Amino acid sequence: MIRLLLRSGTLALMVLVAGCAVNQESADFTAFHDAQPKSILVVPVVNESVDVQAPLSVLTTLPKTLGEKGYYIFPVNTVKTLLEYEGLYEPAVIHNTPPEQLASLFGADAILYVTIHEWTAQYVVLQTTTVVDFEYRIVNHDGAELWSARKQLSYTPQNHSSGNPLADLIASAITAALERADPNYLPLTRQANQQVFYQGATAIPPGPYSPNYKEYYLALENQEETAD
Amino acid sequence: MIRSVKRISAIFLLGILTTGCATNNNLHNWGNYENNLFNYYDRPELQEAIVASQIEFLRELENSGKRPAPGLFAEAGTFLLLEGDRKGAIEFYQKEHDAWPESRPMMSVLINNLKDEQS
Repeated sequence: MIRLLLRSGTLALMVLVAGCAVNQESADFTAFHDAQPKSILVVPVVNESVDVQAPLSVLTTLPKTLGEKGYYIFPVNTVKTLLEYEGLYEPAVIHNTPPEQLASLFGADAILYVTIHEWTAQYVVLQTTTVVDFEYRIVNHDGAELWSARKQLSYTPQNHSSGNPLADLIASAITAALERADPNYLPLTRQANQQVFYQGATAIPPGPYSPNYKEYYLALENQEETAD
Repeated sequence: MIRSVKRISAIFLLGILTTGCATNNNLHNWGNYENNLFNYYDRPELQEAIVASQIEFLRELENSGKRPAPGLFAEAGTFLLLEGDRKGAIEFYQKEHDAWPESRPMMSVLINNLKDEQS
């Protein structure tokens, strides 16, 4: 059904152009505050890297990060499965589907789109460092952009030092081997999500299940009154 | 030498396990959802065990009168649906529906479609 609603080239091009424009971290939450979304639909992640596990790792760690912020997060695997039933297997196609259609299909207030621009694991003798570049966008159910952020991160798994240099050397070789076979995906994506949604200028407002929700919007109202 | 490597890897693994369950000052009850979902995709041979453990976790929470995190009932419903258990899927979609008002439009459609298919 949704397939019929898809637009081709021009929309994709517009999305690409818009995608390039949002590199800057923005602290303008006016649109977000006006929309005050209660629920967020997290759609499958677009992967521009060659790492096939990367998008799964990002998708898997988003519900808890955002759920703990106080939002209702639609069940990501259920959403993915239902979209596949509708013939939408490709995340890029989903990202180009009009947000209004996706939002109304699930009854969501807002949609989160994530694109992995880079995911490169560099194995350097004793440690593996993974360099990533993620782009996040939250769009209102009517299609208006509410928030966006870009996160570049270089991640090296932490070792537990034993106090014995030789033991540490062997331990980190084991870490590197594990990281190579099955890289530490979840800690990396958790860290990136945490920094984007909880820290600095990009931290999003609390959602309705957060104990700080009422206080936050009340303070905002008071600020506006003082400004008037 | 080999023994010390073994001991070190044991210590190392213990380190991973303990950091895995360090904090629990959470707003919601997530259990092992993140790891389980990642492994569900990454290691298909573990799927059956993962589904069983997710459902057991939800039953335990229910028995102690606690609500699982948003989405977890629905995910269990989908896991069961993909195993061919429609009745189980409906049961868990209904639980999500009852626990989280935001889920109701989506859950109602799923439940009704599954019931229609059954009849």
